[in-house]
Amino acid sequence: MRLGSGFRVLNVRFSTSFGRSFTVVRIVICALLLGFVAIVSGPRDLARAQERPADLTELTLEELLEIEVLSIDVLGTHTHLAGQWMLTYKYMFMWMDGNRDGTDRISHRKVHEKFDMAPTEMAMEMHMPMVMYAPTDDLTLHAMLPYIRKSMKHITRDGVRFSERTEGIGDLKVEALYTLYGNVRRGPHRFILDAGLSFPTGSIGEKDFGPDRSMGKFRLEYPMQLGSGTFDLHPGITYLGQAENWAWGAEVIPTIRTGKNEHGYRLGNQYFLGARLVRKLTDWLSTSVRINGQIWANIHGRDRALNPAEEPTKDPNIQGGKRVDLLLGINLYVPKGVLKGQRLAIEGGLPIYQLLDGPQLQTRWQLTAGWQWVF
Amino acid sequence: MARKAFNLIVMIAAFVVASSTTNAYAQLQAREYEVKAAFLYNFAKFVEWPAKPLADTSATIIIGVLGEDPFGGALETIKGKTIEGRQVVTKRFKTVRDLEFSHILFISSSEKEHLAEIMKTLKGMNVLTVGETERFVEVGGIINLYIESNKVRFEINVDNAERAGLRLSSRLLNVAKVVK
Repeated sequence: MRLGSGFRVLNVRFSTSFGRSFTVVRIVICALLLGFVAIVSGPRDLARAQERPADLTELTLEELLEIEVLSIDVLGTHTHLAGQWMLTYKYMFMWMDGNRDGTDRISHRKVHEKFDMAPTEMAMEMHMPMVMYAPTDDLTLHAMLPYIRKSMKHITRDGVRFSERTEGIGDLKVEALYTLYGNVRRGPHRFILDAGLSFPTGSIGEKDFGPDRSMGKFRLEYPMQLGSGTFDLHPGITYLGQAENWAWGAEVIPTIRTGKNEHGYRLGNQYFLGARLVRKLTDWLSTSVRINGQIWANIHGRDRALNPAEEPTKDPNIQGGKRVDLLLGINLYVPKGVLKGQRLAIEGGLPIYQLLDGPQLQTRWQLTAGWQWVF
Repeated sequence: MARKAFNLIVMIAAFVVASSTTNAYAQLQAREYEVKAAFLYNFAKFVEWPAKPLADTSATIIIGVLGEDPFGGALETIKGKTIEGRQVVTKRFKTVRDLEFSHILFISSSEKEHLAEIMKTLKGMNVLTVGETERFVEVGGIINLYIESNKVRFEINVDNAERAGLRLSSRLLNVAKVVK
């Protein structure tokens, strides 16, 4: 084992700064998934399955009156029954490491051929508390205000390394989910209209020191800001399907920016397409696989406080890109008892395709953990 | 790139295989209409019809659905079952004009604007009417199913049951919300 700027254990590299090696994350995710599945697939589940008949007509009137109507469970429903509230806390961590131009990885030396500085790695954390309420079976309202922490490392042409940090609230997002077709009580197929609006509550004026601290703080580049600075629309449509032990869905949600912010620019529109498959293993455990595709456009206009020649992160014309992520998840649900209605979900994944209007930092992996309580 | 793709494929394959080796667990919860279908079946056990419709021991017990069928495949679970030697048969009627005799008639919420006409048509017939609409028992219906605290409940109008010539078991009345 060697210590210093990094260390190796069993030939797996750990960095003592941000993030973990892709290999370790992959091993941990696989081990967790297989471990959970091994634990829950034991014979005791079969014994429990025999305590209650699958045929409800064999139950007495009194027993039927005790059956919980399937509404929110380990498969999730995306929307809720009339009168239900849901509190959610979600944590997301994303690690970006190394530069990419198009689909090619490039070194920071290659970036220095055109720019004074190059980003080398970035970590982003988001804490997302959310509240949802369903006034009717067909309509669910949703509000989310994130708290964001970002850090980015750079290297200059002269080899000077420095870090930048920002933290604060992001843009407030409110959303209405309306069921166009189908019914949350009956299933199995539903089409839901998403109508979202985000407010520019996140800062776009974040500053930090550059390589020479004596020069004071400067406005940070576009990726380090906490909000868009504009009112953004999030129209979308979601399809959900559900069978006995499976649930699946797909959604298309664009982000449409409006106007320009106070610094004279508008972030590029984003387009999100996702598909998800969930497998119910028990009434308290499910696993999921998700593929997400994203396209994001370049920035319109320019922040005059940023010099595009300094660093690619300050050039509004090379911020766009496309990415496809593969994510695997585990969902735990409490079906009864004092903690009934609470759900814990963990999901991790990495890009399987990235094309960046680079040079840009490439995404390496991301991890999300969330807690929900429906009541 | 090929190594990365291979590793991803191995990870996904392990995930899918591990998921598929477990047995499906019997649900401690059920879909709303599976529960309601089971209630319809149970109601037949606790209701006495006049002797005439059931005089023939090979007679069936007919459970009909009027309007848009919300049960999906849930009614198939009670079709063919027997109650005191009589086989349960399910029928579906799109409108009140298509109606034929049913011992139990579930009136879908899609027909809520036509309840008065439906009750008028059924007057004098020994039909146990079951609905899931607000005020169903006030406009002549006998049993109304509703959701309370995520569970199916039902209210019974005993006067409407008497007018229909039906006798309801005390066991049914004991677990219902009785309305007069």
